[in-house]
Amino acid sequence: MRCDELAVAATSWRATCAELAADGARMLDFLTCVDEPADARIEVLAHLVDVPGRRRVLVRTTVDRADPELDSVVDVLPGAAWHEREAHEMFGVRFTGNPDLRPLLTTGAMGHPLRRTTPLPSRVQTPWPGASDPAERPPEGPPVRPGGRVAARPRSRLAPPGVLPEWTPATEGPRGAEGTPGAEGST
Amino acid sequence: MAAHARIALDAAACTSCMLCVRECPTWCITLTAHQESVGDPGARRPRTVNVLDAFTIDWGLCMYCGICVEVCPFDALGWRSDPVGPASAPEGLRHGITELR
Ligand code: SF4
Ligand code: SF4
Repeated sequence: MRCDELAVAATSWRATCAELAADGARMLDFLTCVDEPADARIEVLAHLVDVPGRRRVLVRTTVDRADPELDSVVDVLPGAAWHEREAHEMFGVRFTGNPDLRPLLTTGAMGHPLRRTTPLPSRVQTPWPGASDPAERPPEGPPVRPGGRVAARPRSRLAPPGVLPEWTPATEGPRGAEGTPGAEGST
Repeated sequence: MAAHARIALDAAACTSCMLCVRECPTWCITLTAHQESVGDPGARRPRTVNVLDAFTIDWGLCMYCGICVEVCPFDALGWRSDPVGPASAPEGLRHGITELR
């Protein structure tokens, strides 16, 4: 099935969705967001399907991450009500015109969980299985890497993806003091 | 094509590269391995291989996304049609090398 992509300004979001719905793309497959903290914005996406016309349209727009507000499309696509409610809870986007933006799962105390900067406590408390390394320094002899090259020093610790360093309380002191191997005996 | 009912591990093909463990979004794969020297012990550069000791998937956490299957460079992970059976306790859903065959 053909899929068109349409990037619109936030001000034309509702009008574009209304136009597409009137044009046959009346089935809302999903409406969701993508948090882009590096660009200080949140992308909002709606995937509309025109079933008899065998056509799909992915409409996308962006809102300011610090003050995310967008017109609700519930009046033109009633199925959007629940999706907007979820997007409001998870990303903090306010959909003006949606009468019911009560949270579905959380109490609101932890912030918006799907924003990449929202700390996830269990990700901080759970040891990351990816931290272990078979090529760690063996009990005796120089450290070796797969492929036989002798490593100058143990590899720097890998960090789990998506877990920001500032979520971890700094109780362990500085990690992986750089430059200690080889520092002794330099005189 | 095998249905996406569970994931199997070909332990002989696994090089303990850790890619699946690090990519898994639910952190449900664990792996332990050690290194062994192979070839001429007198060689100037020691050559080592990773030897897999344990590999576990926790089906209680897995969401069957298939990222681990996609990411494995050695095709050691693949889909199977026979689903994971029930367990009476959470530990029973942690399958090791034998169960993952
Ligand atoms: S299917 Fe997804 S969740 Fe399950 S083990 Fe693989 S990467 Fe992890
Ligand atoms: S990605 Fe494949 S080869 Fe690497 S550790 Fe996982 S199963 Fe083994």
